[in-house]
Parts: sequence; C-alpha cells; structure tokens
Amino acid sequence: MASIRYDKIPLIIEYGARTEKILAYDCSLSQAADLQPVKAIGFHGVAEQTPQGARTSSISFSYTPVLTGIVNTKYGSTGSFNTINEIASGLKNSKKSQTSGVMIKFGGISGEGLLSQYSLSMQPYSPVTCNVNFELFGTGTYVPISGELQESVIPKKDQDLANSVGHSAYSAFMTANSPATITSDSQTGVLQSVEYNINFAYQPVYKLGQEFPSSFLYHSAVEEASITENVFETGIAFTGKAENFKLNVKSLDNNNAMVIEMNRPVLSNNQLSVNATQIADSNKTIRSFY
Amino acid sequence: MIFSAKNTKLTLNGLDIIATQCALDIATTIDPRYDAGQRHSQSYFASNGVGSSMSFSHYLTGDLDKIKEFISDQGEKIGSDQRSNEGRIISGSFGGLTFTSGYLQTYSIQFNPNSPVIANSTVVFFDDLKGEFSQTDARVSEQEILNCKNITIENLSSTGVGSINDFINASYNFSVDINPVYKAGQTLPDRIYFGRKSVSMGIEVDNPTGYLPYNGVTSKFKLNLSKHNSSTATENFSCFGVLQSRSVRTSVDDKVSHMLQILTNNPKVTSNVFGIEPRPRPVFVGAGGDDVGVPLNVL
Repeated sequence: MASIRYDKIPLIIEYGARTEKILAYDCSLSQAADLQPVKAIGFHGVAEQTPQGARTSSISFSYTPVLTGIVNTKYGSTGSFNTINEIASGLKNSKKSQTSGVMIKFGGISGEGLLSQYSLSMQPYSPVTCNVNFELFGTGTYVPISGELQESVIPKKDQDLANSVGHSAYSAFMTANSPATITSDSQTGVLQSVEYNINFAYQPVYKLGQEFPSSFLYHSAVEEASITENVFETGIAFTGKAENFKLNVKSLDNNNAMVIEMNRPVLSNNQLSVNATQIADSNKTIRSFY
Repeated sequence: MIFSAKNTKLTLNGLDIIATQCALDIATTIDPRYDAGQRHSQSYFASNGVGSSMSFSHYLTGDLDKIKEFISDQGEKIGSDQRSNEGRIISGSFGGLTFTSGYLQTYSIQFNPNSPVIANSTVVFFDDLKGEFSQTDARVSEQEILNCKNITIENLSSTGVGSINDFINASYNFSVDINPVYKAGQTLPDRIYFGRKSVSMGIEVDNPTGYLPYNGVTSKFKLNLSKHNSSTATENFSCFGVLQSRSVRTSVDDKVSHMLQILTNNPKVTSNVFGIEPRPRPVFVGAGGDDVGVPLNVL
C-alpha cells in the first residue's frame, strides 16, 4: 500500500445530527489486546499468553475548534460548532446511568468512542488548542474499531476559515471572583493563560460469554482549570474558596462563541513562582466534581 | 538454600498441575497443660493428630479437570459392592515432599468476563510428609487455558428466579466436612469419614428484584465452557439447588450489582448416601460367659 499523507486522512466526528470535520493538528489511534503470560510453578516458560480482558482501543488528537457551521442539519441552524465541547458540557451534567458513544471516523477506520478526557489551552495571541481522548470498547459483538486505513480526497478549506477558529483575542476569560482581587489595595490581576481539563469516569459492563460490553455506565466527572495571572492572593481557605468560572471562547471574527462553565468550583491550590529575568507568576487551580 | 517457584513442581496423583501458587501448611494441635495452683503452663500436650493442608490455584485447560472429579467421587459409595469408602485418595508431591492420603476439602472458581478460569483447591491430609525438598527442571507444555469469554449459561430455574438477560459474573464453591477417626494409641487416623457436602453458586445478574419466598426458589444453573473458536463444551459446572439469598448493593462510582446465591447439598445428580456400612456391634459377654444381649442395631 502506498504511503498516505496527512492531508488525505480526515478526522470526522458524528454526534446526533451533527457531523464535524475536525481541524486536527495530530491524531493517534491505538488498540490493545489484554494478554498475560501463563506461568506455572515447577516449570519454566509459559503455557500460553492468555486473554485476561477485552480488546480495547483509544484515539487521541489535538485540534483548534471551529466555531461556525450548521449545528442542526434538520433546521439549518448555526451556532457553537465545537461538537466535543457540546458533548462534554452535556455529559458532565447528565443524570442518566446509561450513556453511548460517538462515531469517530479516521481515514477509513471507524468506531464508537466514549469521551474520556477533554482539555483546552488558551494563551494570548494564540488560537485555542484542544486535546481529546476517546476510549473505544466495542459493544456486543462489534469490535472497537473496524475498517482499513485508506486515503480520502478532501476539498480545500475555505480561506475564511481562519476567522471562525476559537481564539483568545475576543474571549472573555473569567467572570466574578477571578482574576484574583486583593482587597487591601484593590489590585486586579492580569490573566495570562487558562488550562482547562475535564475527565469522565465510565464503567463498561461486561458479561460472561461476551467479549465486548453490553452497556456503558457514566458515573462522574472531574473538572479542573489552572489559571496563570500576575497577582497572588494569600490566605487560602481551609474549606476551599468558592469561585465562579465561565469561559467564553470566541471566534477570531468575534461572531461565534462556545461556553465552558464550571459548576461551583473551589480553589484547591495557589502557587507563586518567579524565575530570574521574569515577572512573578501566580497559578491557581480550581476544581469541580460532578 | 532458597528455591525458585519454577523449580518447585506440584504433582497430584501423578499429574503435573499448572498451578499459579501453592501453600503447604502443617500444624499440630497442642494445648498448654495447667497444674493446680499455677497460672502458667510449663508443659504442653497434643490434643489431636497432625493436620496438614495444601492449597493451590491452577488453570483449567480444555481437558476435563481431574481435581474436579473428586467432588463427585470422594466419600461416595462407589464400586459394585456399593460399600462405603474413602473415595479416591489423593497422593501428592510438592517440591519433592510427598503425602499419600489426601482428600479434597474445598474447590472454588470465580468466573469473571474475559478472564482465564482459575480453580482454587484445598487438599487435607493427615499422614506424615515424606521425602526432601528438591528441585525439578521442566519446560511447561503449550496449553490452551479456558476463558470466560467462551462461556454459556443454561438457566433452567423456576420463574421465581426472575428474568435474567445478563450474567455479569459467577462463582462456584464446593466444600465437604472431612473428619479423621483415630484409634486409641495411634497418631495417624485409622480411617476418614465424610460429613456434609455442599455446592453453592453465586451469580451476579441484571434485573434487580426483591422476590424471595421463605422456602427459597428452585434454581438450576449450568455453566458450560468451551475452547476458543469452538462451540463444544469441554467443561461444565452445575448447581441444581435452591435460591437461598439475594443481595442488591452498590457503592459510589460503581454499578448496582444483584447477586443470587444458590445452594445444593447434592453435588451428584444420582445421589448415593455416604457413610459407614453398618456392622453388628460386639455382643457383651456376661461374667459367667453367657450372652447378656444382642446388638441394638440388628434388632
């Protein structure tokens, strides 16, 4: 088979009525068979390498969100088009036990994956960068991934695309209690960067006589934001300090936005550091649990 | 000298066991003797014989498990004369230390999805260990280990058990009371008699319910195991008994589990009552040499 160049391997997410071609920088797909050596006392060597778990797969990629497009194909409505952000926002507040995966297509290989980790990085003068990991377990008699690696012809992207990517230029970083305010002299800090991360905990339910799970349970999520600024607030509270966190990530043309809002986050740690030739940095971490 | 596990072979009835672990325990039953007026003991006495046990875990391969055969044969009346017997006695060797009269006391398996099948057994014996610890040097032969992916479960229970679609995991447990009979003046048992045998099965299923009548529910479950890419069962475990308990539980960040516990005291499909073949008791002889009665058990 001829080698395939990166621009011939599209990455596509299908979620409900939405189909999004991801503007990905990189993508990595891996699969594993869970095998253990069978050793016995009184013998050297192994009888076989035997399965002790199901085959699993995972796919991770980093991308810049494109914040325009048709959100609902049925009604032709447009809006926030970062599908993965929509999945994360909906899932973390989900009250249902059962959950299901998202169809991921990567160069002719496809499978249903559960969003296990989603992070977002914002730096001044930079496009927003997201990192994502999906776990693919398969279901019933369906293997985690199927298909073969093959190239696809991708139409050239519109030049206006650059206006639609999420960017720090117009994004409202924080609201309410942050950036930190030192009450004694009413200093307000300058926010320098935001690192946001959310992890989801699932439980695939396996049953006897079947390799792949019969269902998936969504249990909880842990959300964390690490904010770098130039002021340091002393006196962290024993019970944690309540914060508000609402991040509006806007497109470069300031027309579209996606929202990340943490539910009752609490300040868990605060760090002040400085290096020679640098200004002092303060880093605070706030966390929410779902 | 310290030995490695790979040079310490476990053999039972001449069969090499593909065991993952083995523990040999030998214990006396010694009690302290207290004299009148003394709070402390200065000497000890044996109150029972030496009791030894060997516990081990071994993989199940496609061939019928030889250890499992003791569950149905041991302590049963077998043979053409249907006389009581001690069943098939297990002789064994662990690293060159040998015993000649062992009996299977417990046998259990935990079945988890996609996991290899490993049985845990305990063999008790009451004779002295012979031989010296010695090393072996052998390469294990290639074998296919049974896996819970290739398991089918037959549910022949009454409707009271409820509708079951998913079997999440299962366990199989066998145990028997094994009692040595000592003659006066002997430190080794003259014979062994077997008490109650029981087989229980725990099954985690979906569909939690709370229905459980006071006299249980007739339950019949059979687990069939086959090799990879084969539909022919090469091993099976059954428990035809009574649903004894249900348990519904959960904890934070975990699923709700619904566990059924089934118990049977009849591990064999065809029941043979085990025990001692009755013999007439000796007739007491009077002082003058006359018989003073006849044995009660032959009246």
